[in-house]
Amino acid sequence: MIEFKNLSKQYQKEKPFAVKNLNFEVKKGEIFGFLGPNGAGKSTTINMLMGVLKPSKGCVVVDNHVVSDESFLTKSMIGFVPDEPLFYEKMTGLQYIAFICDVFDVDKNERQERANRLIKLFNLEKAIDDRISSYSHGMKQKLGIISALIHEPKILVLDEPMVGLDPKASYILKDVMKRFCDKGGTVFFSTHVMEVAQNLCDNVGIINKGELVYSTSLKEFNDKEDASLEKIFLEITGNEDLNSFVDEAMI
Amino acid sequence: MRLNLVLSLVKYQLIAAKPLEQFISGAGKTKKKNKIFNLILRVLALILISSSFIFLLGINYFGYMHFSNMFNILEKGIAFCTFSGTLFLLFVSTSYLEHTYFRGKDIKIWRLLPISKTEFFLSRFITNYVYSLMINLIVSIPLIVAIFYYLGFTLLTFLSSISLFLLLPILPLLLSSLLVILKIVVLKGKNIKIVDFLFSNGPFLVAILYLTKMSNEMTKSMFEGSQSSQIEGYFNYISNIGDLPYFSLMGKMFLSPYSFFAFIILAILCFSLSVLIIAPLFERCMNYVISENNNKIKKKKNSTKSNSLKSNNLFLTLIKRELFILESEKGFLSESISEMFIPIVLIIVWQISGSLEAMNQIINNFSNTPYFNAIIFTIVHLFASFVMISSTSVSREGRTFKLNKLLPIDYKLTIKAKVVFHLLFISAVQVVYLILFCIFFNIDLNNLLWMIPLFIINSINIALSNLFIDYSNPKLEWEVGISAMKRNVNGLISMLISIGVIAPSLLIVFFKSNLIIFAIIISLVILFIFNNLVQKAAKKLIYQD
Repeated sequence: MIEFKNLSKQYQKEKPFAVKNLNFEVKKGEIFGFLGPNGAGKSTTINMLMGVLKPSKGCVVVDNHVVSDESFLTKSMIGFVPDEPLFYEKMTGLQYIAFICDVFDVDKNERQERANRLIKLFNLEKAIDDRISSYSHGMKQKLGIISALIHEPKILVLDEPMVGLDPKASYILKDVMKRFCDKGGTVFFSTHVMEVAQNLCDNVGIINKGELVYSTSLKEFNDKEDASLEKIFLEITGNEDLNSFVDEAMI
Repeated sequence: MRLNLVLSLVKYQLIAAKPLEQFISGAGKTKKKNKIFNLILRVLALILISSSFIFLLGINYFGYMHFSNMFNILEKGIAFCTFSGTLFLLFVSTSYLEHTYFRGKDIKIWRLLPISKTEFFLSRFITNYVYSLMINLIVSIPLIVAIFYYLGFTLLTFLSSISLFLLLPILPLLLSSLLVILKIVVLKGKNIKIVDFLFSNGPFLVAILYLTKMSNEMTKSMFEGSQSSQIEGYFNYISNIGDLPYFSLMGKMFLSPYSFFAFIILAILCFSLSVLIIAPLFERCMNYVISENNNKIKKKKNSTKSNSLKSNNLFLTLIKRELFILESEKGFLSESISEMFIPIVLIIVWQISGSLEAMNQIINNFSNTPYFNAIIFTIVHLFASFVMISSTSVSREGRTFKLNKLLPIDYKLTIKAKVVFHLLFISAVQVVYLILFCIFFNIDLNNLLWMIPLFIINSINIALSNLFIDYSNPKLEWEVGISAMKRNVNGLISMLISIGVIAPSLLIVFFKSNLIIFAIIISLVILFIFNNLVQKAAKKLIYQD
């Protein structure tokens, strides 16, 4: 469903690659966790997947369409939740959902029913008629998730979706992601929370300094490895001896 | 009071705000070559605008001084010039003062830190003083040149010139600070737009009234009185203003060392008084501003209860989005609405100042010439050119512009929506002005049959050319709304471009009024060219990294 083919991105000629030669595939119906430390290249990769950045080399293919050539079409297939909520703050939550429905041409008979269902699911009924400027970070995150789901996309791309969500909303989102995939959808999401990735994903990939350094199916990982995903992550990203590091710093 | 902390706050405020960089830079993410080109263009625009102001003020200063020198009242002439400069600074400073005092986004950070309101106020007062000094360069340079021309270069004129540069902004800063504070005290955290508008635009209206009243006195004596009565009127005017104590001392300091020291003491007193008077009021105002923000949230929470998800055509949705963006920052909407009513404001000002009668007389003299229709048509076009609704349209989107990249929205449709928004918001009102002007000046209404279509095509051209400028180099990264609109050089560049865009068709209207169809054809050709240009610029901006 999503293919990253020799994908590289270099912002300036003299500077190192932000993303280098990424090659992997996310299959239809799977949840793929994209992990990596800060500055590893996760957001750059997601921005190329969303058509916001042009790759320096290689390409991203979404449902057999090259993103850089047909970004309008690929954007129509994706529901995206950015890491920082981005809204027209003077709109009410409901007005923003209507805006997204108009952009994605959601059938006018269906949109109301879908909106009611999702607003209720994420417990945003009381605030939905308020201006977005009065929302907390978590409420904005919920609105972002509703907006990503309202047009029933084929693919969900979520950049750090759990940040700011309360435990209930976080649980619901994980459940929604599973059900979305059960119905044939594909989820690609980035996270820093290893437990979430380990419990939720079918496959994970770890990116460090722009390169995909580790990739596995969670089923295989759980069968073979006795270590946790967190430990593997820390080893791969060069932070295995954190305890002595903290000891030194705190003295 | 920790003075070191106050100075540090000023330093970091200036480092963070980068006022000059903000003014001359755009998005900052364009390619290196384009960046240099844009920078050169913006610096040139800045130089052009500053030098035009310096030139215009210089001509006035030389005029006043020449006249006062003839009648041996040079010190009153200088005092009169400092009075004009004070008015200019007062008008300019009210446009940014409220933002630096109360509305800056960094205020949220300050409220979390252990800094007292008085320390914060003093730091902002000094910051505003630094901003005023930058603007004062435009006011003081021509004045100092004129003073050196008439008094020569001496130690006293040199020292007085430095004092003039450093101390002239204090009075306007004090007055505009009081005005901003008075507005917040009067509003007490309530959101009454008319009071807000009156306080924000009051100094501008007063300055316009004063200047038109003065020019009216002169034109009156030109038409009605003899040369001697005209000179007498002018003499009295300069003398009366020149006798005002504060300005009188400023005029005299160039001639007497005693006055020089007296003025410095007076200015320092004025500065200290400003801090003493305003600091306690500031604290109260900050509480009102905080409660105003809370009121807004509460009010908005109860404002709408529709719960229904309306369906719209995407084009209509995008037009509506423009309105939401216009509403998103304080100042966007009021700035745009005031642009809409510029002709009405001017007519009221002329009526109050008595200039309307004299203008009517001039217009009546022209009414029999073959160019009269073209003159009226051009005036309405000029009003249409001096708007910033499209030239800052992309910049106003700020960081939400990224949504255009993330969502599947056709950029061509967005451009159309922005143009239609321009037509609905600004041009529709101006068409009404055109009709009213035709009725008022007894122009044959059949002319509207060509005037309205040509005006609409030219308005589309203005919108497209302005959008082209803004799409080419938008100012998307801003903290305070006025950076995207009032302080956006794109607005000023676009006004010049707009005149170039409407000029070809207006020249035909003037000199070949029987060939209006060619004016329409030329305007359509320009429309075609700019439509392509703006589409290319929009595509580049949306698909660039």
